[in-house]
Amino acid sequence: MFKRVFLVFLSALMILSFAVNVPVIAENGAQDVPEELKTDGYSFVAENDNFKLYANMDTGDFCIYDIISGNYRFSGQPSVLDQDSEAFELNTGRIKTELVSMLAVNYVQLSTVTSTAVPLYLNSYAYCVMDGNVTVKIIKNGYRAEYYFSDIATKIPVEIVLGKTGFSATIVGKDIKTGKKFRVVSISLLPGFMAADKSYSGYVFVPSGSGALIPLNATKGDVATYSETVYGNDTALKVEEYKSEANDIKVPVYGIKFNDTAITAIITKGDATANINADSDSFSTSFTRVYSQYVTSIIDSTTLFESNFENQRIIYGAEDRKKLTDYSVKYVFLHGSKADYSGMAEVYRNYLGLKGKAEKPKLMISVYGAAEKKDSFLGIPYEKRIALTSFDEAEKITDYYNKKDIPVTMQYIGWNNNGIYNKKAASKYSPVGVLGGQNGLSDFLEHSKKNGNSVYLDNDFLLIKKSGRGFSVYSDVCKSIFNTRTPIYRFMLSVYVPVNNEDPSYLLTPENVRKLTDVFSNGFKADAGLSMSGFGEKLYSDFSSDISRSDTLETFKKILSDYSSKQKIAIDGANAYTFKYASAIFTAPTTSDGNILFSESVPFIQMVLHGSVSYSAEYGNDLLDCIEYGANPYYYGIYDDAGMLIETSYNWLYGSTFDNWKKEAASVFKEYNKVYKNLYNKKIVSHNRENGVSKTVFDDGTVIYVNRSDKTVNAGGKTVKPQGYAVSGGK
Amino acid sequence: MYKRITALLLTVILIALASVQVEAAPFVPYKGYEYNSSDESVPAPVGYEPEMFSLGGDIGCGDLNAPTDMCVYEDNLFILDSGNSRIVVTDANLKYIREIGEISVDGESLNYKSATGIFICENGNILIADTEGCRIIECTNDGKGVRVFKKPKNAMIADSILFSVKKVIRDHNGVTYAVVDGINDGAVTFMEDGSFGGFFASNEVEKTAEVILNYIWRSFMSEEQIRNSKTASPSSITNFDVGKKGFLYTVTKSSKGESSVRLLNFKGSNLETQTEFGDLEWDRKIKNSVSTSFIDVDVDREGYIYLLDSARGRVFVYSEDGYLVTVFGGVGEKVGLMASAISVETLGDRVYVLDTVRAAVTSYIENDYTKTLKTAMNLLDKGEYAKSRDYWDKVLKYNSNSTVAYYGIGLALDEEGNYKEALGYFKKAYNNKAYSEAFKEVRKDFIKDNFVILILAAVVFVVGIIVLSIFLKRKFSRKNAYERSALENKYAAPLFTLVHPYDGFERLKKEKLWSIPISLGILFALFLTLTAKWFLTGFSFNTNRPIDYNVFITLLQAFLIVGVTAIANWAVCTLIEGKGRLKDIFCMMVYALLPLVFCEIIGVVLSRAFTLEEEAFLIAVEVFGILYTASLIFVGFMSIHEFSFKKTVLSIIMTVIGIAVIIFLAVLFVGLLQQVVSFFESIWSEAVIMS
Repeated sequence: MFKRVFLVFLSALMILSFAVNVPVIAENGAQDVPEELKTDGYSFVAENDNFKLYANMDTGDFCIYDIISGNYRFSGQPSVLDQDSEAFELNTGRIKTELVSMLAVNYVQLSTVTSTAVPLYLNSYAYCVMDGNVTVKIIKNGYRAEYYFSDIATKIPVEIVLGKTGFSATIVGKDIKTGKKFRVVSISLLPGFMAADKSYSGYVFVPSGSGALIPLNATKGDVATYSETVYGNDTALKVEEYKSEANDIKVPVYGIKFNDTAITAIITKGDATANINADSDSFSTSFTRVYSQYVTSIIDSTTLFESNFENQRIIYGAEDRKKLTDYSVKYVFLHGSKADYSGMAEVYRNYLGLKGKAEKPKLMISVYGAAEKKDSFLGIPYEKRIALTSFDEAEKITDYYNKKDIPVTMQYIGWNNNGIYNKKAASKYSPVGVLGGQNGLSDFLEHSKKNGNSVYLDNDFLLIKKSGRGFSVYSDVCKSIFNTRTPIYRFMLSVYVPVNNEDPSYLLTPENVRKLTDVFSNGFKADAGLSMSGFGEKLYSDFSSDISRSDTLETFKKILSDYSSKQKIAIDGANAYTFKYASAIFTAPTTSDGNILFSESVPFIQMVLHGSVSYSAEYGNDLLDCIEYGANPYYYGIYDDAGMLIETSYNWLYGSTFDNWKKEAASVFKEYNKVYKNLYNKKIVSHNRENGVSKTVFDDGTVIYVNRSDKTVNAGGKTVKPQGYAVSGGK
Repeated sequence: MYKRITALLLTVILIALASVQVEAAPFVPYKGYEYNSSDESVPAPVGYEPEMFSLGGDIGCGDLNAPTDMCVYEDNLFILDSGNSRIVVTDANLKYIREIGEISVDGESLNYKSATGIFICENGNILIADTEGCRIIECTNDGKGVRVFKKPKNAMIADSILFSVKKVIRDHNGVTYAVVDGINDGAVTFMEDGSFGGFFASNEVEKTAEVILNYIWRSFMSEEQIRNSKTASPSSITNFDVGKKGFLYTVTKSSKGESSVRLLNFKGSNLETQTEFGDLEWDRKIKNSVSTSFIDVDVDREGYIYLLDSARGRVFVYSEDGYLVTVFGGVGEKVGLMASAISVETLGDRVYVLDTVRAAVTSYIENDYTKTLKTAMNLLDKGEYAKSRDYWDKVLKYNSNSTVAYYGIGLALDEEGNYKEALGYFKKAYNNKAYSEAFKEVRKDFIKDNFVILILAAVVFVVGIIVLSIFLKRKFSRKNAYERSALENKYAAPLFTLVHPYDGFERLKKEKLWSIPISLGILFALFLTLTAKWFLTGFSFNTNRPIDYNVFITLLQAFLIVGVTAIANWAVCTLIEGKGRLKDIFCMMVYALLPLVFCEIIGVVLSRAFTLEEEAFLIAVEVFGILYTASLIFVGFMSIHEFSFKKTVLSIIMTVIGIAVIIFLAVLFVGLLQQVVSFFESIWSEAVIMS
């Protein structure tokens, strides 16, 4: 009873205190706290040329004064507690208190986790601030607030530190103390900070695929939320049912633009264990917001069969990570013309500090080498190895383009080991015989080099189907939380379940991947680049050995850095941690994943990469896409007739015969090269779209307009035809 | 002049109104697939790409509230926004044009807040199935009330039925059809003058095995038991549409949740087709199994059928002839995926799907692949094979897995007279019948070209056979009763028993001339023959795919069947004083298989020269082999067991029973073993997981 009265009293107090509007105060010298902030309980913490940081010593909330724009920004959205405001009515349920919380926690109870895995929820405002369980301490350039959630006896410290361009927020992993009976599953950091309601114009930026925008002023009813794992889901989790095609998060960056300021957030530590969430103005909230979440424990499930398929039980388990690392997000404020997604891309590009230089435009092609097909001899069936593209044929492909003065960057998949799919680990350098063997390969590579092509030989270091060559399919592969192996199957296209009559693949543990790459690297004799299949798209844990995705990421970085010091590396997919090491990125996504919330896709990844790393478009992109996104045209396929792959497990290569696309590729590339032969090494400084016309600006002043509307438009003094483009400025 | 200016102005306006695709190619959140001849899903290009996701706000009419149905009339889309009791009319780009609110009929203003069906007749009149209002409201295209259909007073409709109309349509003859909740006799029809026209297309009780079994059970049950057991109720119509020629397409759902599609003529009798609609594969884990559940059907102007599967949020597109064109859509939170799909409509090259929970319309746009495929299929339908050739070639460029494209090209080549090349295409299309017909022509040409040589070869062959048989007879037949033939030794014995089974088997048994290696050799030959039959039989007759070949099953066929039969026979015959030992029985049976092996080989050879029309010859050869072998075995049993004819028959009957017992025991044993294994497995996995 007493507690409830106290709570009511406290909330009344809070509401009263926030009733006062955002302070508009003249600057009062360094140590002075504006009057209205003072009454709200804020005191001065730190300052620099651009910002002043105030913190509330009772709640751990902060207010940051942005000197350039003259705006105050609070860590939450206090208006939701103000009874007189519209926001008080419009925000209901747990979102209301979450919007004024520094942290929100999802946890499970260890005693019941096997049967129910729906995490329970707490946030710092309702469960710490209201109970007075917050301790705030000043540290250098900032403060540290410790939130004690008494319900689960868990303490989580957050440090806010002011920097030149903004501030950083860190969940201090090693100081998290979790109650014995509970496990924290995820911690949302500053869930109410990057939020804005309809009174602003602007958007939220989420890094779905190439990047996507959620407008601030569009009501989408109760249709959807966005929540995805950075770098895609953990590949070591068993997928029971394929849901839909995805375009994963490739870069750990998100942001918000309101009117003429913007804030962008980069997850600088713990990006491998992060989720990025966004939701839009809907029935339960008037805010559109974006925030990230530190995933401290992954929940997995497995099905136990009891003697037959009809009796099954689903068991859940929560990952037990012994050492939690820090989770840190850097928030950067942007102003004026920089306050948009182009500015966010620039911030991230500078943060990455990519040193490489992109190559001149080349036609990027993936070809598939050898496959295996069921056949029989005198009734004895066997797997016959067949050549889809032999080394000679690959040479014919490059020759075809070289004769037209088109240089080629080729990714050669399935040249080694068993061909496209590994059986035993691909540890040896053994070019497939039916393709032409070692001599065939070296002839091709020599010829290629002479003609100025780049060839990347693709080797899959991650997946195996059979034991051998020192790698066991039982003991050297990743295990789930339940200590069982995770088979990776193909999925039936119709009913989404695994194709069980094929041998599944297994993921080697990161340590074994490292071992395998070492062995392979010693035997690698080809004068060519290496394509590190899967490194840019598969990130996983090994739960049984307490290897988290962060650990795997570190191992992968080490491998990539070792290799990249010796030879050129190509990457599939485009996870951010590979940018630094890749010379070529095959298929950087050119769209978002089409969530209903999104209003459009933007070329964020391309803006980060252009000029530093060569990257390709996706298969199926047309000339306009390539020109707008500065992406090398991309095609994939085989030299032989794809019709021979009917009734094989390679039938996904349908229609990829070289003859089908060779002419189109040549003409698209020629057009592309006209525009990009002088732009390939320039940075994209801005991009925007209006009425179907996009404008891409480069750092040498060149502007490219792409018109996708049905009307001829006049842009920057140039006439742009429908479905056409125009280039202006530059040298 | 004036007219031209208006036209020009109009086009300008139209261009301005046309939707603007702002971005690069959209993200397609689903994969394309189709079914091959063995009903397996295979990858195929995406056929329709998601284009717009429009909530009420995007349309420009304010939020929709639980919309339930759509209908296309001329170039407009009519959305039944039942929660708001209005009909929203949009253009093809899902932009608001007008709306129809309450409708007044005879001075009474009617709302239709719970309506679930809308249909627009040829003359533009709108029919609304007002479910809770228990009526059908008819109004003009701009919303003026015309009349109301209420529950007809007729003895065939029970008083307890409320007349909750779910869906309504009207055909070219002005007959109105209504699907009514609780009426399983088919759709209720109204004639043009509004009078009751009886029931249409009642769905019969499906004669599934279960129903038949129930029927048999019932004859043993007491009255009470029968009352307590579930009755099989007929499946009821879920939705329907009027097709090109005035035919009605209905989707129905059985009591077990299985969907089916029927094409009905105006009398209500079923016209359709061998096509199985919807997904043909299923989840091996029973618990998660979700089967296709059609909720709506739409037929476009060209006759293509669009079926909406509410279970997986997908649209299946079929040609009039039942060829699967493409499948698209799915369940999820991305543009192009559904939460709760309820209605499908087509207009031009767009398909619209209504999501009732999200209160939104998603549009999909046909891409070049589907355009090409449809053009090719249209030509195929008209029989213009040669013309369709180029389109099929283009389809193959997009999709080299397309069986219908191989079939189409085959037909085109057939028409050109290029039968030889056509063969390869029919083979890829897995179409035995078309292959056989083309092969007939190839054979005709071959015979024409090589007539003299063939005649000569035939003469040589016949003469050769005669000479050979005379020679063999002279060499191997017994000269007199005491002398033996040259064949009567251990190694040639199988050949001798072909013609002298009784003597042969008896002597082999007495003199212990059986050879296990030879027996195994014959069995292996049988195994090879079966394999050859799988791989080498002429394609006209071969329905086996190399990929499905299983060496173990073939070995089992060859070895286990003979083994089990021998053991059963031995076990049985020792009881009834048969004299044969196990080895005798086994070897005898294997020796007796020789004619079967020969005939199978001859069959394989002939199958490459014959067409489906001459299948009878092939069957005759095979039957001859089987009968020959069977009679050898019969005689063999008589001979080695020293049985009378009657006793042999008896022993064979008992052997069959014996085999059944062995199989039963084996199944039981394997089943038990599996139980034990899975028991330990689950203990193990539980131990691992819980630790």
